[in-house]
Amino acid sequence: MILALKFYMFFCIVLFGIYIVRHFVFTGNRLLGKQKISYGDILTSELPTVSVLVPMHNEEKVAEKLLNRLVKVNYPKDKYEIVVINDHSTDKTGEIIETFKKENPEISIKVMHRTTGNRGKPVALNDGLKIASGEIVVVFDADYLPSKDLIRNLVVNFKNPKVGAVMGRVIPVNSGKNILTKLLELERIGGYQVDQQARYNLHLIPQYGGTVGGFRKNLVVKTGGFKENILAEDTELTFRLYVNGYEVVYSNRAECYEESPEDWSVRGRQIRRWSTGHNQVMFSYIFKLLTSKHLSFFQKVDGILLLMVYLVPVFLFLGILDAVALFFLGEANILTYSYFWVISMMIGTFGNFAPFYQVVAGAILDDSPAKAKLLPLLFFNFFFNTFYILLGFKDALIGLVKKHYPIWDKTQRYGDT
Amino acid sequence: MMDQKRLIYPHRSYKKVNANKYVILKEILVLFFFWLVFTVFVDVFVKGLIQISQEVLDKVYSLEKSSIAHHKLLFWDVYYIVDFGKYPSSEVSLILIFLSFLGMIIFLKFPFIRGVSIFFSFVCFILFVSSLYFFFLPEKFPYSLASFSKIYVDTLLLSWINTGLLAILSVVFFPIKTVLKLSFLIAMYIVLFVIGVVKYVFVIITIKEYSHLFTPLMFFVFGPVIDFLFFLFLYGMFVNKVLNPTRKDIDNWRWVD
Repeated sequence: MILALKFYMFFCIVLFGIYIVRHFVFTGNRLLGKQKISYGDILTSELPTVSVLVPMHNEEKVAEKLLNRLVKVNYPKDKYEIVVINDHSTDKTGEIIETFKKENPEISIKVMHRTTGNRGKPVALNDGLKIASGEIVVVFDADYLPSKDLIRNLVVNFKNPKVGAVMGRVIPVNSGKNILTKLLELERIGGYQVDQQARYNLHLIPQYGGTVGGFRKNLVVKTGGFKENILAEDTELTFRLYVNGYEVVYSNRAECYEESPEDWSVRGRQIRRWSTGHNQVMFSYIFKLLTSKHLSFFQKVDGILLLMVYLVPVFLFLGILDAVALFFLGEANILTYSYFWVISMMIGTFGNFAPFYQVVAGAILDDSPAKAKLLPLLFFNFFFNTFYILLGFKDALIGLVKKHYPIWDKTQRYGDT
Repeated sequence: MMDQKRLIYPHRSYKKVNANKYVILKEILVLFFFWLVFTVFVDVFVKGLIQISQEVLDKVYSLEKSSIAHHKLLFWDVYYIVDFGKYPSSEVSLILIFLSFLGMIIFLKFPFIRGVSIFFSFVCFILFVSSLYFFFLPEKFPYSLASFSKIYVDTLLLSWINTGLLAILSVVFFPIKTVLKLSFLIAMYIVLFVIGVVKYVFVIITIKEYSHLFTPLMFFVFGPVIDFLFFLFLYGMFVNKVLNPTRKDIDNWRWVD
């Protein structure tokens, strides 16, 4: 038994070691390496038709702000439409959308009120795809504030026929609100400014994030639309595209502001949902990824590590129990040598799964090194993230066994930004 | 036919450090050399820490002097304090079972700064397991204060080495002078040394005064975790103070290759 416990400890150290090296390579590449510029920054050309899909469920606090931004974007009006899916809202979202449509006849706005069937983003997107007429579909969550050039910067990337989806950079707009929002900003910085850009630079797997991004409509429809029981439809689409020979472009220049959760319980539920969805995708795609002929060796390695991101905290939690057991069995020596704790804490200071040095690299590139003062608090966030990721993993596991998944839990909006 | 944009304005999107690979390589070598020297002589620093800790403990416990022993850890001669701890009574263990369980639940449900509260819940979990162990199997506890002291110091030594390595990797790409990076390493080691004395004295006094029941807590919470937290604090301060002035120096950065 002791041998098994020691072996597990060794496994954890190797696993965390791999992640540390991976993120160190990302950080070095982002700070020193050749940066791959997205097509949006170097080309202007004839643009394809675009449908902007906005799924909304009880979004009365933020709906009008987003729609106001979307009608002002810099994109040819004859190639542009907005598709709003009012998904079982019980507040004034429906009225706000209809009023807005009447007040803006110069823009093609299609509205779909969903009152029957399942609720949730993937279902809403599938219904939206049925009435969307654009070649390219760009998705925004209702709490986002797109700039005028954002759609153009995203869509122009599809001039490359190999591109199946594009992802822009997400920046919290309410970061000064409280400690939580400040920490979430750090997570976003590490995740986008460094992690996503480095993965794009290194021809690995940048991730389509479900909002501030777009995809080819026919490709998604042809491959079955969004899987309605998967809570991370964005991650699922990323891997579906890669195993089918397409790629995702990350456009760091296509910045968009979002409202991040201001409340710990809201954030906890969001992480739990992400964990459930991401682990669902892991169960579905790990073998498809390994056997795909379209991916390079390094893309497969990165893909596996990406798929396992929400599984690592589960290994870590078991590692904690393992360490406690070894300690009481008189085997603390192995813990001394393995230095498990600091390694696990290193990976544990991942914000959006970016270790502290990656977060700092992002803050420096964003011209805001002062944000690094919050690093010790990010350390505590690791315990918070781990707790909710464990709950999400449990949901995914139950779903896998019982084929019954939790309903989409929408993130609460504040609308005060 | 696609047109090219005539001008791409400098933007943070593709900003990167303007560094020469050979300069970076030289810096890595300098920093690693410093780290290697420290690693070779780390047992000397540990011995210093032990001597200072012993002096402090001798002042606290003027009637009973602690002694020092040493052993070989890889190629280092590692010193540690030998002393005797207390064992908890069944009543104390029982009370702590309830208190730590209560704490675990309360902190888990605490609605504010959840990261910190869940961390405290973890602390209570360690205490809970330890209390259970001492309530049911007190005679099986595998560590004396002397053996734990040895393990604790070994962990501290390896923690210093690893934190140094981590510190190098964390600063090596920054667009600042090598001497500043080296200063950070030195400052970090000074702070870790001082923290090390405080931690070690605290650990010995806790187990000596309040019982072995707290030994797991000392290992899992007051060991490398504290070192790492202080490292993060120092690193954050360093980045803020030293890298802030580099922001406006255009020569430090490049935008598009």
